[in-house]
Amino acid sequence: MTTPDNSTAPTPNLNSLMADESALSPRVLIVDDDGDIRRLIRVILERDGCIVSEIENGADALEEFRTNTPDLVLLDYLLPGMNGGDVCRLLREMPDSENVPIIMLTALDDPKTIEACFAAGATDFITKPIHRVVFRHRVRKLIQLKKTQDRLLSQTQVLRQMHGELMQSRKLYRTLVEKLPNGAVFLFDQYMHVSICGGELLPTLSNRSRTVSAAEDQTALEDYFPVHTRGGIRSFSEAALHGQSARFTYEFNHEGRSYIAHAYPVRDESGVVFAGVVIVQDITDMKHAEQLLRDNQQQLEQLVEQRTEELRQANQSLQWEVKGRQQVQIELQYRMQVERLISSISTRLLSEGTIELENSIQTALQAVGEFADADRCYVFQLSGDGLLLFNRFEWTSGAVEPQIHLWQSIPAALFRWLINSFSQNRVMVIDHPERLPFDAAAEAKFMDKRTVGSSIIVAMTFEDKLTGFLGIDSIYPDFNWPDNLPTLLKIVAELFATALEHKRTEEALRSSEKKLRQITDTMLDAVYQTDAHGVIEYASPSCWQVFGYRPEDFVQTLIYSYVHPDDVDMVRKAIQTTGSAEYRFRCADGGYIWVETLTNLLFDSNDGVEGIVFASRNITERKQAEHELEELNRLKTEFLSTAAHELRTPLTSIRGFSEILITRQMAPERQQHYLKMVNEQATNLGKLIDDLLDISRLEAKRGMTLMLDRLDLVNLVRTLTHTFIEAASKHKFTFEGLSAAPSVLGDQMRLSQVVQNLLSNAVKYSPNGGEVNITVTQPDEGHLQVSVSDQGMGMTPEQMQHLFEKFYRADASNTAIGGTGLGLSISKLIVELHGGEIGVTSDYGNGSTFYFTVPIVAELNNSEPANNPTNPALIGKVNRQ
Amino acid sequence: MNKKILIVDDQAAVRELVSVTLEIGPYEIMMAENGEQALAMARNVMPDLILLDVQMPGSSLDGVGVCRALKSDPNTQQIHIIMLTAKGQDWDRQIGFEAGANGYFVKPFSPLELMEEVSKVLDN
Repeated sequence: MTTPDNSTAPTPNLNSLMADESALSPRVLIVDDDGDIRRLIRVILERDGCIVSEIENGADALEEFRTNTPDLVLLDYLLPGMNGGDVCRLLREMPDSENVPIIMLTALDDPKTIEACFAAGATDFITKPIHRVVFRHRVRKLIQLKKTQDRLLSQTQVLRQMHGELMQSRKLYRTLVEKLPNGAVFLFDQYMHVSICGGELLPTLSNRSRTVSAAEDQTALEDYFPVHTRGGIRSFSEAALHGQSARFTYEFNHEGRSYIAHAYPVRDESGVVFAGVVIVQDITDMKHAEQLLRDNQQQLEQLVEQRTEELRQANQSLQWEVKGRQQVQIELQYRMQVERLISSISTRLLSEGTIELENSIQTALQAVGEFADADRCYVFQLSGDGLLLFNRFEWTSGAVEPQIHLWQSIPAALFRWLINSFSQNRVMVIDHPERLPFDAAAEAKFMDKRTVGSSIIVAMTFEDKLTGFLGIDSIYPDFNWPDNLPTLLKIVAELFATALEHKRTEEALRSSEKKLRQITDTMLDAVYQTDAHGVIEYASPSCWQVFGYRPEDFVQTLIYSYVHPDDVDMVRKAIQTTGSAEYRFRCADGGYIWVETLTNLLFDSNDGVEGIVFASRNITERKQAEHELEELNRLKTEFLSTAAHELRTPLTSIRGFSEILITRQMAPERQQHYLKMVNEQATNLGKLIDDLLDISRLEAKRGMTLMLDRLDLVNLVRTLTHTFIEAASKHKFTFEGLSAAPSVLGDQMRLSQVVQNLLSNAVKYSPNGGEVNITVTQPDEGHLQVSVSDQGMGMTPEQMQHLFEKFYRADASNTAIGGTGLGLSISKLIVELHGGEIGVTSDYGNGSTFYFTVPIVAELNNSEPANNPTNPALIGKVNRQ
Repeated sequence: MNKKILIVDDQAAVRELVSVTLEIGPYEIMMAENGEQALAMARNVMPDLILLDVQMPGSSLDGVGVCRALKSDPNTQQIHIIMLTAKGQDWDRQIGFEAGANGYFVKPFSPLELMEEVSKVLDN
């Protein structure tokens, strides 16, 4: 079923509805059994833009109408079966058919038929045969009518729906306005006539019966309000109508209640004010609440004031309390003063040691005396044997005379009563000398003599032994001492006793130490003591003699800083183990000496190392001698092994060739040759042995005796050169010597040996001949220099480096150049023993120059012993080591 | 073919003595007077035996060095080496043997004993 359901369909828009209608082509249903008529009508209608459906009989027509409702039905009256009238009636019974025009077509033009057609519900009637033009116009008119009708129907439906909605919302608003709780609303027009009004307050305000519809009423706005407010209401509502401001308020009272009215302008879409709204609210309760609030506030203020008063009172009582507290405070301060006194006394006694002890005790006595408002405060000390009493310390206030000088070496037995009492009570409080017991006569006399009215005396003990007593006096009997004075005195007495006893022990120690120090001070060894870490605490005066350090500079330094860095570990170890070590020690002059040191660990009472005592002796000379001996030994061994090797070489030839000569038959010439070789090597061996002995003598130094004498070196060298000229024919010798050269101090034989060695080398190493130049010059004030130059093979720097080593030969493979390899070593030893230098310059392939220097003997010292066994330079050298 | 013997010694007298000692045997004698020479000749000639002095001043390579060089070279390590030296201490011998020497003779030596040793080495 396609029945339109307006109640559920969306509300159509009127305009769009019309547009839709015109766009659609009208649909026409033709019901006729005559096909020609159908076709004819179709042609006519289609030309006019209609959509035509052709149906042959009534039943089909009903079905077609149901499924596809047309805009117009053309119905033949004479149909087979059901006739047109019946069909028309049935159509009209169908829903939505009332607006569809039905035109009956019939050839029957009788009034009965026509009446039947209209009775069946037909809209119009057209007779056959159809007149084209009339038909066209009539159909068109009917279609148009139908369309207009449809449109109107739709519009009506829309309007009805809108009206329903409006009514709905109006109802809502009205309910809202009428039921507006505790208020009233007025909508008024420009003429100040009320259009709508409502609200719970309305009757109260105006005495009118409930809501009055604006349309009915036309009442002026002010008439809704009590008379006395009307002027105000009017003017303020008018202001709203003028719309300059969005909102106005007006307050008024009526019949005991308070109201507030707000006025708002109402604007249309373009913003023009066309009406106004007044809303009235009953603010009586609010006002009441405000008043309540104000009252509460006032109450609160009163309460605050009341509280302030209470506080003031509390403050006052607090002040009383504070005063009470201050009292307590004073007492506390007093107690603190006592404690501070004790702590200051004890720190003084502890920190300042025994030297400051006397001052400390004196100060402490004064502090205690002044604190107690006493007149005298004093200390008596028992002697070590407990037989005598000494007044060690005294403080007096000025009210009494100091008496310390009177009370020295007093027999302790005199104060028998007091001392006995101490065994029961360490604190004796004496209020009045007259109240002392009978057997305390001596004590009473003592007090009397010291003009004492009352006194407190406290025993001083150390390790449960009485060592003396501390006393405090006042000239007044029954003196009011501070409450805790006895306690304070007890503590102070204990502190004094401990401090004094320490002092006594220390003094004893010091006196024994003094004796010990007197011993160490007189010893030759450096004696010093360090703490466990090696910081020197004591150094004997002999440290000056041994190390060159003044004891006061030596102390407070670290002992290991003086020990040679290589020896430190060994020394540390020795201290912990053997307690003796030999090591190098840096002296004040920066040089090291060898010391032999004995150490001893000092232990404290807990067996921890407390210090180390050192006794060091300078053993440098012994060490030096040992060292020299060792060096000598090493040299000897080395020399012997080298010498043995060198001796084996000629021996090899001697033994080998002699064995061959013995065991083999050979030609006499060959025998002769080998024998000659044996002989040569034997000679060589002899020379070698001579040189070896020579060198060992020279190296032993001490065993060596240079026969020193004033020598004319120029003359000596000249003479030696001449002997050589005769021996070497291949070479040309030149000699150049200083004339009037100063003398040198030398051993003639040894220096000749050097010159001969250099000359023979020059000849040996220039085998092809050439010049040999010999000069004697004076290169500086203190020396003469002998130089020998050849034009021989020269030397490489490498060869020059080893030149003066024993058994070194620059060209050993060259047997043509014989020699032991000891000549230059011996020369070097000889020159150095003379305090001179030997050296060489060489150009490889072009010859060498050997030179040596000898110190000139000073002319003023010509009286010096000629055969001084050791050279002065030599002595200096030894001492430098 | 005669066995080849290389005599190495810086002393001419010793070289002569050794060669005279060995001249009665069926050997071809060669001589070197320092380490470098000895090494070069040993590599060129490939002797069967080397009589090697240890101390040769003036030579950058001593007998021990020559011995070590030859014994560490696969081409020459089969050469029999007898140290012939004046260094007779125990440690000298040890150094020699550690360098790879096969025998050790100390100067002064007996030519007869040397001859015996040489023929023992070469004639077997």
